[in-house]
Amino acid sequence: MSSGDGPRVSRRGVLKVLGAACGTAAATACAPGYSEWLQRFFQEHYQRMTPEEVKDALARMEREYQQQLGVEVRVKDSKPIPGVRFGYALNISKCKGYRECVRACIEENNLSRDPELAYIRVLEMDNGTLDLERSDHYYEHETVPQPGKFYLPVSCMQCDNAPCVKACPVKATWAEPDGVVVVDYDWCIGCRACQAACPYGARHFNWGTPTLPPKGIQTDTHVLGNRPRPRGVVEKCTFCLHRTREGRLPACHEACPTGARVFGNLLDPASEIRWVLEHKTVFRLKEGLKTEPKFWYYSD
Amino acid sequence: MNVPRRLRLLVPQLSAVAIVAGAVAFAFKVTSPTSQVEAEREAASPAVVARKPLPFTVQARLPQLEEHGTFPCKECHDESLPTDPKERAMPEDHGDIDLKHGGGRFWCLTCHDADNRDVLRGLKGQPIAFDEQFLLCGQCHFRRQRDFLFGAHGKRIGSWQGERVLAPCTSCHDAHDPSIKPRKPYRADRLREGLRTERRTHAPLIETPSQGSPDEQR
Repeated sequence: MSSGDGPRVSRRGVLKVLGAACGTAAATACAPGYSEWLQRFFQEHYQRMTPEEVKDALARMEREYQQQLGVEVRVKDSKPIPGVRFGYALNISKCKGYRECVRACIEENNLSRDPELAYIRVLEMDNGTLDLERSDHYYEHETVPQPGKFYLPVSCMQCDNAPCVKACPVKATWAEPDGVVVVDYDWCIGCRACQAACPYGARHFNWGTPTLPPKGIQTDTHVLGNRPRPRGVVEKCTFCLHRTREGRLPACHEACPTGARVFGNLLDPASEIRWVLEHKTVFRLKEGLKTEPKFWYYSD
Repeated sequence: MNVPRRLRLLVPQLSAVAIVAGAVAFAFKVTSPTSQVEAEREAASPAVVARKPLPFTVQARLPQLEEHGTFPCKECHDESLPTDPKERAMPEDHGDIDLKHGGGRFWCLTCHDADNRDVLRGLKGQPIAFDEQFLLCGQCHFRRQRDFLFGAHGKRIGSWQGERVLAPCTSCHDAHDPSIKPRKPYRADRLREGLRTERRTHAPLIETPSQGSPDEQR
């Protein structure tokens, strides 16, 4: 094409259009909605944020939840209590497989109802075996416990030597000083490497946008815990850190109708969990993998 | 030196006494079974600390009984109603109670005080309040009671630190029929798509061996 034929585009014209476009972009970026989007996009890793940045981010999350869910959700940032390391013990001779812990966990931790997730899986196994491959957590009996079966609830073990933490390519998951392995949902890229690395099946991926019942949203939330998650991130049990860091018991403990669960501070020699570990025959799942779980099972 | 001669003669004897006394005191301190240092070390050892149960309170039971309408018992069991110690069926008064506890060894007055129905009665005849029922249950179930005191049986309420509040025995167990009954579980986890047999359009890619055949296991 010769230069004289087509419409002439002058340098001045191009610059004008470019300048106008940049101006419009800058103006829109300053508009309230877009600036929030930009802030969210450039949000730092949780551990690298200054306290002021965390405060701003939490306030922004609360505004977003108000907008999306129509509910006033409080997002906390409670820190680990010094000198506390959480441990959990479960009496399998007391567990009857009622799944009340599953129900309480789903409601407390704002787990998606559709597609459905559950942090706790109650495995049903034949008495005298401990073959996880042959366990069934889809059991649907009229009544439990069924004769000849026992029940073993499995959730995140909060391993001291957690394979999921090592597997994360972007360091979006880490162990907090109180031993709880947490996920920065805004830093997670959804690659699911941690899910593949976890030998306990404790990590769950949000394939779809989580749906929550409008009236059943838990509004007391933690930034690393049970705040409503976006689509495409991995989530897991956090020992209900929004409750336990304030001294309360986890929701599954509170819901257990048989008192099978014992929760406490492993560093406190007088605590109940320490007594259980010292006086009962305890075991942990897949101990040979050296993941050092902080979840013990015992029977009596 | 102008010390009197009599005193000067006493010096070797006095020093000998002092040396012997010091040696005795030293030997006593070393061999003493409860020396201060050891007592302190023992108190600091975690195992010793853990053997003492943490102080606790048991959640009050009486408000629940009052709500249920069965307490105070003295509303009916007053002077006008004499105690009949004979074992018998009482369908009109306590028809909801089916005493299975103890397999026929017990009768109401084994645990309930005949003279004061508002309290329970221990093996020595001592009154036990309904709020302290673990003292009554622990007379037979002493191993459970030890677990209860240390936190391996029963249930702590509210918080894992600070004030320790425990659920009373009868918040989970029916005192007259204590075993926990089978019941319907909360609904099952939803099967993932593709695992549901009714939705399968083709045979599963990996056949799982049936549960029943022991030959196929492993």
